[in-house]
This record gives sequence, C-alpha cells and structure tokens, in this order.
Amino acid sequence: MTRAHQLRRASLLAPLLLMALPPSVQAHGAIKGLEGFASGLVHPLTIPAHVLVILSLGLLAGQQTPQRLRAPMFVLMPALACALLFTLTRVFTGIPQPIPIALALCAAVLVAVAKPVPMPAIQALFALGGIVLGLDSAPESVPLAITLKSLLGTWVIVVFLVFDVAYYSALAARRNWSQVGLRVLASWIIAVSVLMLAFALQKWRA
Amino acid sequence: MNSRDSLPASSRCRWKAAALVPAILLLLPAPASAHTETGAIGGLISGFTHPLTGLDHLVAMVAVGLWGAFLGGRAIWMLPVAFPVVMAFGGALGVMKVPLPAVETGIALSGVILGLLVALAVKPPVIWAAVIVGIFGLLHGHAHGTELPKSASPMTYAIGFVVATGLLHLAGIALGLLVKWPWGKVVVRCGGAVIALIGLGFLFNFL
Repeated sequence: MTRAHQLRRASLLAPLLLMALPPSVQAHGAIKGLEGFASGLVHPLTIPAHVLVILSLGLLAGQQTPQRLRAPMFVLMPALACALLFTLTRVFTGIPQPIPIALALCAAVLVAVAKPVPMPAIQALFALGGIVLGLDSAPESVPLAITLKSLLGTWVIVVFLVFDVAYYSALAARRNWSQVGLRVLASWIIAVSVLMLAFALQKWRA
Repeated sequence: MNSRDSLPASSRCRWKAAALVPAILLLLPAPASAHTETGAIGGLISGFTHPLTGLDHLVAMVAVGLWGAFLGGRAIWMLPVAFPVVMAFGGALGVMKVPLPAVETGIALSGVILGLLVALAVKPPVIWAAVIVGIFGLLHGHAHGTELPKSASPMTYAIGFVVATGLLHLAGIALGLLVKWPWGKVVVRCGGAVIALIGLGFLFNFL
C-alpha cells in the first residue's frame, strides 16, 4: 500500500473519529445567549424560508453553463447590504413569509426545469433575494454598534452560503448523475415551498 | 500460520480498517433528549419519521425509485422529480381541507399497482409513468397534508417528510440499479412483487 493510499484511508477515518467526540450539553439552544456578529451569523439558518432562498439561488447560479458566478454574486452583495442597512430605519421589521418562499419556489422551478436562464434574469432573482433576505433580517432594537455587527454577520453568512452552494453545484453540474441530483434537490425545495405557501394561505384564511 | 498472514500488505490494511469502523461507531455517544417532539426540531423529526414508520407510504416511495431505475433513461430522474412536486400539491389540498375521494384506498392501491408494474417489468412511455406516479403522489401528499397543521411545527414537518420521501426514492433507485445484472433484474422484480403483496395487505386490512 502506498503512502498516498494510507493517507487517503486515514482521511476517511478522521470524520468517524470526530463523530466519536462527545457533544456538548446544551440546556437551551445556542441562539439564546448570542448577540452581535454571532447572532447575525446564525439568524438566516434559523428561518426555514431563508434557508430555502439561499439553497435555491445557489443551485440556480451553479447549474448554469458557462459558469459565471461573479455576475450574480456582485448583484447579491450590494442588494443584501442595502436592504440590511435599510432595516435600521425601522420602516420594515420583517416581510410576509410567503414572499421569500415564493422566491425560493421560482428559483427552484428554474433549477428543476434545467434550461438555460439569461444572466439578467438570474441577476434579477439574486437582487430580489438580497433585498428580501435583508429586509427580513431586522435585528431587535439594541445599541447601534451591536446591531451593525449583527447585520454584518448576516451579510457574511448569506454571501458565504450562497457562493458555497453555487460553487459546489457548479462542480456537480459537470457530471451527468450529479445534474440529476441538483434537479431532485430542486424538486424537494419546490415541494417544501408549495407546502409552506399552502400553510401560510391556510393561516391567512383562518 | 494464520491464514491472514498469507494476505498481501494492502489486504491486511483493508481488513484492519474494516475492523476499526464498527469499533469507532460503537464509541458514538447516545444523546440524551429530554424533550423530542416539541418545537421546530420536533416537527422536523416527526415529519422525517412519518414516511419511514408508515409501511404503506414507505413501500410506495421505494417502488417509485425502483420503477424509475427499472425504466431507465429519463425516468430515473423524472419520476423522483415529479413525485415530490405533485405530492406537495396534494399536501397543499390537504392543508386547505380540500377533500379528495378514497385517499386511503388510493394509497394502498399505489403499493399494489406500482409493485405490480415493477414485478411485471411494465415499461410504458415515460410521460405515462410520470402521470401514474403523479396520481399516487397526489394521494400520498393529501394524507400528509391533512396531518400537517396538527404537528408541532408544520414548516419543519414539511421539510422532514419531503426529505424522507426523497431519500426513500433514492433508496429505491439504488436498489433498482441492480437491473444492470441479470440476477439483479430478478431481485428487483421480486422486490416489486413483495411491495404489491404489502399493498394488498393494506387494501384488505391485513396489515
């Protein structure tokens, strides 16, 4: 067995060893005591609708060929920043949940259909995504310095996650079987979005 | 001399690694969960376990994957993509209390029909396969949707059951890929027959 093989074996065993580490005991969710940057980092991950938007936008950008991840990301970053800063005016303290869900649904449908989408349309969806996620991430009223740190945390995590999903989807899109995987994943997002919209509609009717 | 001493060094390493894996898995700590079925996590867990614990749902989902792999070509992705989407529309109808006729009978029939289609190696055009799967998806979704608002967190319940359903399809596809080999075809068709029998059990209330 060559040294390279041994190293590969060891790298496969490492995650198993890490899994064996005992988890920390948490009486309450990690989010309770968080504030500032850390709170902003965690915020999008705690809202299912935001997670769906992040996933579907990332998949959409990554699936398109030729790969041009920079163009949509350069639209998302300023749109998200402007929307997050706009929350400081307290005009919006959150937006209706069906809006981000509908946005995730649109992007996921485009991924499931797997047809080429013109770059301006992708950029428009990314701009809308940035605005929706930003406006829906208004922090509680706390000192301005902490609020700004929290907004920065949200900006960093959303940009990082969308880029990450897009990058790995772009890698996956090179293989036939993983293209199928992307479409199946998109169909799951569509299914969850439709159910969430139905639930929101039912709540609104009640 | 030990029989394994005669093995080449690479094989011995493979044996050692294989022996280590279960040992390491035994070290995994068991989490102590005081509360399980509450809040968002509770909704996610109950949504995820729902298709896994209901045998009628489980066999139908696996059958969809099996049939997709059996049909091959576009069907491998078209059926698992179509099913969750149509199922979600059925779920939406269930959430909004729109009645559908004979949902439970349709769910039991889905096992029988999909199982028979696999067992008899029926290969209709992909679009017809998608329509058949779609009709059953609608009924399964309706049953899930009716239970959705009762759960602790309907949104995470929806995520849980969609993901579990998709994973069952993937399990079915993985099994269905055995059709590449002649013996695999027999295994898959026997699997279809077993699914049809389970469906019959539900149809006539034996299960």
